[in-house]
Amino acid sequence: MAEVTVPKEHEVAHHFDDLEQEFESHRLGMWLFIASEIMMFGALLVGGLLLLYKFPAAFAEGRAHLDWRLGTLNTFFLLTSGLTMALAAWHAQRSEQDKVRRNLLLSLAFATGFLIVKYFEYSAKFHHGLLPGNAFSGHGFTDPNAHVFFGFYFVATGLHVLHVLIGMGLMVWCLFVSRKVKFTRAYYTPVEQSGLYWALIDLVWIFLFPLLYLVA
Amino acid sequence: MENLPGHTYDIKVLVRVYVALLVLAGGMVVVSLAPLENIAGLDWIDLHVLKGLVIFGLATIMVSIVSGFLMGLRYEKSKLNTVVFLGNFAFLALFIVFTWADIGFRGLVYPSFEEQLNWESPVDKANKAHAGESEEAEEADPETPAH
Repeated sequence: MAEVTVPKEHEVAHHFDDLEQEFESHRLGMWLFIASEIMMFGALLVGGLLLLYKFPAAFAEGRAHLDWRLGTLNTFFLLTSGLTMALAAWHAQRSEQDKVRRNLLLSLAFATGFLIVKYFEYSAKFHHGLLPGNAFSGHGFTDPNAHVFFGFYFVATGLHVLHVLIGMGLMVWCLFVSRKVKFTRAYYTPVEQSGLYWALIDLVWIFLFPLLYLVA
Repeated sequence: MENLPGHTYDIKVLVRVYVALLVLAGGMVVVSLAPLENIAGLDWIDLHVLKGLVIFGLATIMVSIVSGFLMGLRYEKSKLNTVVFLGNFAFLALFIVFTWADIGFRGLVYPSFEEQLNWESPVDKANKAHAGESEEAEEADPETPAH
C-alpha cells in the first residue's frame, strides 16, 4: 500500500533564534544572489545598448526579423506567471496547500508557453541562417553588421531562457516540498524565494523585450 | 506574540499590480508602433530617440512595480535589501558612463575594426555566396530567373 505523506510543520534551524531571523537571512541571501544576477544581465544589457548606439542600422534591420506579437505574447506569459507565483505565496500564507500547488502548476504552464514561443522563434532564425558571427548565412541584408544584432539576440535570450528553465526547476522543487512541509503564515520560504527568482526573470525580460523587439 | 516573517500578501494589490503591468507593457507596444509623423511642436528632438526614452521609461516604471510589490521591497522593515537592489543600479550607471565614454569616442583615436583586422563582414560573405549560387543556377538553366 502506498504510504501517505502528511506535511509537517517547519522547525527553525538550530543556528537561528526564531522564524523571523531565519526568514530575513534567507531573504537577504536571495537578494544578494539577485544583485549578482542583475550585475550579469546588466552588463549584457549595457552591451546591447552600446551595440544599438554603435550599429543602429544593424539593429533596425535585425529587429525587422523579430515578430513583436510573439514578444508581446511572451511578455504576457511571464507577467501572468509572475502573478500566479505571487498567488502561490498568498495561498501558502493561508496554508492552502492544494491551491499553492495549483498556482505552481499554472506558473509552470505559462513558463512552458514562453518556451514554446521561443522554440518557434529560434527555429525560424536557424532556418533562415540568422545566426551570430561567422555562422550567419542569411541573405538580403544591406548593413554589414546585421549579424551583430543576432549575436546579441541569441546570447541575451539564451541566457534568459536558461534562467526560465532554472525557475521552472524551482517550481517543481516547490511542488515536492509542498508534499513534505506544511506551509503556514509563519513558514512559506520556499515559495517566497522561488517567487523572488521568478520575479527576477520578469525584470530581465521587461528590459530585454523593448531592447530587442520595440526600439529601433 | 512571535513576530511573523515577511509581509502578508493582499490579493487586491496583486491583481491591481498585474493589471498595471499589462497596461504598461501594452503601452510600450503602442508607443513602438505609433507613426512618427504628425506630432506638432516636437521637431527639436529625434522622434526615434523620444520613442526609445518613453519605452524605457515605461519599462523602468514596470521594474519599480515588480520590485516594490511582487518582490516585496515596499514592505520591508529594514531597508537593507532595497539598498542592495538600488546600489546595483548605481554601479550599473557608473559602468554605462565609463563604457560609453570609451566606445562612443574610440573611433576618433583608432581606425575602424575592419581596417585593424582586415576583417570581412559575415553578412557580406553570405550575400556574395548567395549571389554566386544564383549565378551558377542561371548558367545551368538560363530560363530560371535569378532572385
